Amino acid sequence: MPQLNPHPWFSIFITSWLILIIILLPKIKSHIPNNSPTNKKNMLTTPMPWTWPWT
Amino acid sequence: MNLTLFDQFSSPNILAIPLMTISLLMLTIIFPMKHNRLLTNRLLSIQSKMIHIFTKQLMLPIPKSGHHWALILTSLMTLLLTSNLLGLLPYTFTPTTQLSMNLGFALPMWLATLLIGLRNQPTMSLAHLLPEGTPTPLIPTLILIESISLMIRPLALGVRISANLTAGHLLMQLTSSATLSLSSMPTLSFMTAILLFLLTILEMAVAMIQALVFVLLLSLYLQENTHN
Repeated sequence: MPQLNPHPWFSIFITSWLILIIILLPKIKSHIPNNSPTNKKNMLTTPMPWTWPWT
Repeated sequence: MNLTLFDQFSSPNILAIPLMTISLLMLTIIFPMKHNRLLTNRLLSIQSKMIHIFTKQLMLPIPKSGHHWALILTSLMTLLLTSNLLGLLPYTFTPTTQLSMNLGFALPMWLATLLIGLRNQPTMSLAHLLPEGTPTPLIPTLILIESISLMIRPLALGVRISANLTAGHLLMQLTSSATLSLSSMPTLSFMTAILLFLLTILEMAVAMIQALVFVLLLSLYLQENTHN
């Protein structure tokens, strides 16, 4: 069985980890929302008082 | 060239350059990067939904300190699942049948969970080596057995997925070659083809279950070694 003599074992080991960490991880990370605070509330415009028409 | 049953599992080479990189890179193509400024399409939406559900279910029983593992475990699950499923296509190479890949994932991950436990809660981690209520004369033997079962975990994790996929691929190859060789007897050949079809469905289920089992067991080891 070729698996019992995994010939380029080092290259398979390194490659699989590199692809997981460098390529797949950022892709999956973009799907998972993070819990960091947003500045969404700061960007909301404060309601301005009604100045027209002068009633 | 004299091909044997096991030749499908030897990792492909061209001019002594292993093609494992390409076969693994192909898997990542079907996962586009999600971007906040772009509208998602159907593929991206369903991937997002699946990833959310899976991460939520996986992290549900794990204490909060273990939640840092959500990303790496979900990514690993995605890699294994895609590799297993795409490997079922005819004339493709399945990277997850390689022991060097599965052991390469299992050993460092298991070691990480173990070291986290020994660093953060050494007493609790060592207490796992002895089940509660063991009679005193049995204690030395039981600690020995539990230690062996602890050490054998990464090996079992890696071999389990490799052996399952290898067995499935072999069965499918044997059945499909039987279908071809029995073509002089149409009824028998047809029945073998139906068997092959059913086997393929079974193997698709096995591909999904094995990827889940790999990550689920890792999360169990993590759960044992984390605290609130």
